[in-house]
Amino acid sequence: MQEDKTSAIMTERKPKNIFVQGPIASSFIADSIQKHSSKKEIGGHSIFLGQVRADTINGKKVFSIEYTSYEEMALEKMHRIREDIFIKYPLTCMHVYHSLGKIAAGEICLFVFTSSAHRKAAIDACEETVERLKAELPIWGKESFEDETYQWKENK
Amino acid sequence: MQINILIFGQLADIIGENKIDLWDIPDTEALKMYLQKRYPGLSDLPYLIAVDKEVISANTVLNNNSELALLPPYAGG
Repeated sequence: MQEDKTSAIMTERKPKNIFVQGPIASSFIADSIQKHSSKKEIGGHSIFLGQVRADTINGKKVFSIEYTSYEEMALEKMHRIREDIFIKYPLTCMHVYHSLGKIAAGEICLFVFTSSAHRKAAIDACEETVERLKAELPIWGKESFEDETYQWKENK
Repeated sequence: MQINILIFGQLADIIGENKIDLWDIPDTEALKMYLQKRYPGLSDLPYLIAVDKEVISANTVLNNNSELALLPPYAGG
């Protein structure tokens, strides 16, 4: 019985690919919002956008971040985070996209989008998803400076 | 017994490869000791070991088909 239930949930939500090559375009974000207009049970969306910051480190400015990942593991972990979040919050839907490859300072590298009947669930689920994915997904970022040297970023 | 190890991020810079194959490593403690000896630069960097895509927290016995990965600190988001 228990097993049947679990496998039913697993079939319902298969691991989705979250990775996109290159930056996340604002038109893609706009289209994602537009697509939800047919889901009329939604009363609130929450969106988090991560943007590559031009940090100054030892007097040198970050020019871009090149993201790489252990993709199979990251997708399995993200699937688990998604399952947990859906159990905890009454969400209508959740979408997560993360960039891979070289992303210039000022460009968007993370897009987390949660929707619910009421705002609180959407906002809390969005925040928890962002915090968890930053801590749990095997993703690395190589920060390149304008003089072509680099260093590896580390989440605080 | 051959084990294949995927190497990511800064660790790939230190080791100089994205992937290494090793023989006769029975468990993850033995792997850590081998890596430490072979690549002294690793002592400066904390890293996690994943066996079959799960981060391990205690010594883990390796099988012939184990998929290993060395994971430096994450920087996603």
